[in-house]
Amino acid sequence: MRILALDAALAACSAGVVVDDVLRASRRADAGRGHASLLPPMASAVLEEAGAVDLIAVTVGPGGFTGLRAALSLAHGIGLGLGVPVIGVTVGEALADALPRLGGRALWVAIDSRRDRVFLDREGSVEAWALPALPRPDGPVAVAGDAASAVAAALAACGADVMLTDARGPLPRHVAVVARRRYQGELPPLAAQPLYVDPPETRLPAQPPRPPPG
Amino acid sequence: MQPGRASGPVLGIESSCDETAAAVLDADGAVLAEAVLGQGAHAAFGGVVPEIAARAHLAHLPDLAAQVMREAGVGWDALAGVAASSGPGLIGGLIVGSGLGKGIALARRIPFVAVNHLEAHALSPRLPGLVPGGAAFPYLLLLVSGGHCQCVAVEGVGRHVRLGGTIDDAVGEAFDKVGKLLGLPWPGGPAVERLAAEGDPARHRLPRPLLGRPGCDFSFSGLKTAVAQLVARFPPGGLPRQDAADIAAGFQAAVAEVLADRAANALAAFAAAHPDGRLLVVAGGVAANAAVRSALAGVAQTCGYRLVAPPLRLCTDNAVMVAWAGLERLRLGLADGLDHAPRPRWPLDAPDMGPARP
Ligand SMILES: Nc1ncnc2c1ncn2[C@@H]1O[C@H](COP(=O)(O)OP(=O)(O)OP(=O)(O)O)[C@@H](O)[C@H]1O
Repeated sequence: MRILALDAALAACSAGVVVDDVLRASRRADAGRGHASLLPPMASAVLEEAGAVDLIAVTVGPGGFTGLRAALSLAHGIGLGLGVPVIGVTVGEALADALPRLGGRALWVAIDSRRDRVFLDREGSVEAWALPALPRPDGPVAVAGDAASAVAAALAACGADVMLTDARGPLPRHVAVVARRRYQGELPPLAAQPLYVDPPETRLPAQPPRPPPG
Repeated sequence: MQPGRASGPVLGIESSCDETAAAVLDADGAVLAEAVLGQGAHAAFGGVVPEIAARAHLAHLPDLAAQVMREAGVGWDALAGVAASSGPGLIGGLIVGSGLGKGIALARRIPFVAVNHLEAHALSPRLPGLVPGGAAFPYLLLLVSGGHCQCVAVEGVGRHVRLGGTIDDAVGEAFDKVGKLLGLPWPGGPAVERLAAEGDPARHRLPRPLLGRPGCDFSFSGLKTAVAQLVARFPPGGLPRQDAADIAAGFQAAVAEVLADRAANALAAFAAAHPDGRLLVVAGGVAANAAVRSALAGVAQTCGYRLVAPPLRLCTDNAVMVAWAGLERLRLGLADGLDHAPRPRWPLDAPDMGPARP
């Protein structure tokens, strides 16, 4: 199976073509906030290098909205243009695939969020936590993700048995492998839409509007 | 691509504000299919909420693009280009629309056009069949929408001279704020116009900012404040209908008069630079307003110009005009790189608008 894997969930972004679970072409860049201009040329380059694909795999988060929107809209566009399905993969799933041997430790994936919060993905359930108020693990854990160092330190300080892994962000091969498994029905379906965690930030008008004229 | 004619149909994508839209035009500019999805979710907040808009664009745009392609009977392999609004506007939506467009373009190895949303409005009267005999350059554009209010000399593709614009609120924004003050549903423009029809425009003599002054800039915040002061005299609760209607009518009359005055100055400046000009084009949602249209028609006639207002569906945000702007650019051999960065601010006379764009 030939898969184009796209990721722009965190600070870096990447595009890769993975054929039968083997990486054939890839590009990676530190994006800052420039995902929307960086990722499309990278996707084009790996497709030119490695040829057509039959599936698009794309990370849905948790992560930065700018990057997620850039990657997901691009993935849908390529999917339409090539007539192939687009499959969503969470950052947690991609990191879990990169860490197959944890010796019985539960994997906690920690993603930076705004306002001193982190998103914690524990076995597929994602919640936002303030760093000083993290939940206590009930057994040994391994921590991955771009907020892993901070979270591991905070957990260790509370006396938890914690291992800091070196998996910080999704890599194309793992994004592709998870998507293949999802496509083949080994994993439950997941919409190729951002995993927002929080509802949109909105503010109702300060003063209630007047009722309509009589 | 050969100048003169695009080699096939073009897909247009619009997602710069709160309308999600897609359209397919054939190589000559005939509309093969078009669709617009509004976003009702903003009404409760009394204005567009950027995060709600961005989420809705991403949720709906892929299916909408597929839908118009199906309705147009055009296969993805037959497209000659993809054009997406890439600014100015709300960045979340711009990222979604341009990302989808780039994805299709790179998958099919066809050109991508990063359309300036304002240029799409500016070139819309050139859509085939809109103006009898066609809208040849140059013409004067009055863009009056929720986000924009400006006078532009449209001299060619990528060649726009901004003659004046608002120094505070856009005119549609003023309609929306007045609608809110009167307790009307959002967006206020259409509701204010309906209510004004029952009112006496002469009862309140509201200010006409910049009226009679040289130049063609606009200002609406003083007018809006005057309306707020009128409304504040009433006790809380719904306004008596006749009072509300009189205020709406007085406001609308002031706006129409100001727009006409500013347009007259713009026409004079435009005519001095372009003795061959004959066309005044009004675009944007406020062009739907009959009082505004008739005031502008009066000015145009006095100056020997013809007023053209594209039909409403092409005046408000839509993807037909985006596809058309893309087509116009493709005909000149202009396209954009996949590395184009969507721009929340992108004035019509920005240096990268000209034909020298890489
Ligand atoms: N009949 C009307 N009279 C006055 N204003 C109107 C009328 N109909 C619509 N409007 C105003 O037009 C605006 C919407 O138009 P449009 O869709 O062109 O604007 P927009 O979404 O702000 O787009 P843009 O990004 O082009 O500024 C709103 O402010 C609305 O109140």
